[in-house]
Amino acid sequence: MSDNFAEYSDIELYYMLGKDKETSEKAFAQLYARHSPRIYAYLRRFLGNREDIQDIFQETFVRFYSASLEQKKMTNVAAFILKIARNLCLNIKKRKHEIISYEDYMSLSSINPNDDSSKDELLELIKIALELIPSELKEAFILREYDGLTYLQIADVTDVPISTVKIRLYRAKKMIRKILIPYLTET
Amino acid sequence: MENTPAEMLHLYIDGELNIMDEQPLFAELNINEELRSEMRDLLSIRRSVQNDSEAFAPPVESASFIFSKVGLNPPVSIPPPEVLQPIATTGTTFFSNLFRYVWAPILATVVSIIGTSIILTNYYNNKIEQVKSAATSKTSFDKFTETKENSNINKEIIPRITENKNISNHQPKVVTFNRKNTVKHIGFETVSNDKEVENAQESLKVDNPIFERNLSKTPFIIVNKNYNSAFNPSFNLNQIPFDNSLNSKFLRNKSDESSYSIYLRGIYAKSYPNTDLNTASNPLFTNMSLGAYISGGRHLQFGLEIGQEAFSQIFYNMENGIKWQYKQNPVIFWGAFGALVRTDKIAYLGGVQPFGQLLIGGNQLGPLGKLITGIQLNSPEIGVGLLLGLEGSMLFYTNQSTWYTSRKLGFTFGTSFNF
Repeated sequence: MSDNFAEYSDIELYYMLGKDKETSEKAFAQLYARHSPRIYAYLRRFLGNREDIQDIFQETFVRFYSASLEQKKMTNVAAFILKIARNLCLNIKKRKHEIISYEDYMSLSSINPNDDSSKDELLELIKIALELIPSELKEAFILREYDGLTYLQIADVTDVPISTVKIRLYRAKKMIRKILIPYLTET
Repeated sequence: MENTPAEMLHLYIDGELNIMDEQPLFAELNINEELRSEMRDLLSIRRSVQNDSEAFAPPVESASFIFSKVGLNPPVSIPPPEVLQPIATTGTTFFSNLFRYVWAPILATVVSIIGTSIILTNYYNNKIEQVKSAATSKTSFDKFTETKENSNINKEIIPRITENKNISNHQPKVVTFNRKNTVKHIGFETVSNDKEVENAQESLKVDNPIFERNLSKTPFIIVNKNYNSAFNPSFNLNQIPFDNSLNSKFLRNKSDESSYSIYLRGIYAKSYPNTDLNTASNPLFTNMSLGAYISGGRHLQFGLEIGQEAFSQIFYNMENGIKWQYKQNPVIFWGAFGALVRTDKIAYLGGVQPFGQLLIGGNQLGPLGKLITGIQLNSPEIGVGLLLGLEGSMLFYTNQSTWYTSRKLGFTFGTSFNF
């Protein structure tokens, strides 16, 4: 076995979890280094700048390690971790019945479409628009546009059929475009 | 279920549209202005999202918490992505990295220099006698005189250049004694120790002087200011043969066999891969090198060379799960050991000397090798020469455990100062 754990694939590292302590530590450290930035970015984009994002992030990896000790069949480690993070996000949203803040809505309404909007402003508008659409549509949009997942991968992560993924993405882009159409015509 | 044109457009932008549906979509786009407008808007949204370079780094304390929670020891440090630092500004970093990358080339170069020097030194010791020419040094005359005084040598037998007034009428006696199959002349040359004086004395007892047989060699006249004005070389010069193997230093052409040389070269080369980027900095003496060489033989020189030039670089870096391509064109200072080989002058080409040069060294990024070939034109009178040639360089560097190369090919031109 090589001492350089960076040479192993995600699947190989996953199967090393649960072995002797030293091997588990190194394998888990490598998996954490590879996937933690992406998971944290997903949580930040999906949940925004919340106070409990760190808690959700930590819980994601704790649950992942626990699951690795029980579930030995694995095909896609990245999607598996993302699923855990997503489920935790949905639980949070269900409990707190998230709504868009009045300030965000007003800030969007107050923007003058005749202003010379730069690309950065358009990006900020897109982020605000994401807050105005349903969370499942927002999630599909983030996974497709930010994380670059294919329809099949999104279906695997969200545990829905591909046809549902197609519909969600179509509706998400439609809604975002509809919100931003006064500003898009000026760019 | 058949997709609407708008649905087909969304699938097409996401790369999920069946190839059979492309033609109907394109046909619809051709006639439907609203559909084209929607496509423009969707592409604008995508471009904006792709330009979102905001990175979200996980909190540092989260790693410790997670590892402790699952019963593992937190790692000492989670390996961050390594980012290549093209410009190292601290001296300690330069030398530590230089040693790490170039110790093998340096060791090979030192071993080859030592071995070559031993071989060349033994070779020339067999060819050159340890007798200094009388014409080069008044000191040697004095020594000769002292030696003669001490050894009671008959003054009439061995001519004394400074005091013997009979030199002008004295027929030169070419005395030869063989040592190691070489011939050394004594007659108007000084011997350097008592032993050789005795040998010369013995030789002069021969009735018939033995003339050197290789009369076809170029004759020479030892010209020295210490010669008495009464000395009149009326003898036939052709009877004083000259052997090229008796190579005393003062007879060497200054630039053909210079002991030391300084090279100042300019470099004009193109990098491969080429980034078409300007250098971020433009320090003085860019694309130039300075070298100091010592002679290791008639056609061989060894030395050190330093320089500064730009190297285009293209490499990849994984950051937050995304593979980024980096392009840069930094100006880098380098140092190297060099070996230069020259041929004899080519008379019908104006006296140019083809040369080949190999440099092995490195810089703060990694090992560096250079191969140069060209021609030199040296002026023996003033000890200055010009050179022109082709130069190929290869720089090795690493990023995130992946090795890359930056190659250059172009022209070199410069000046040499020979001592």
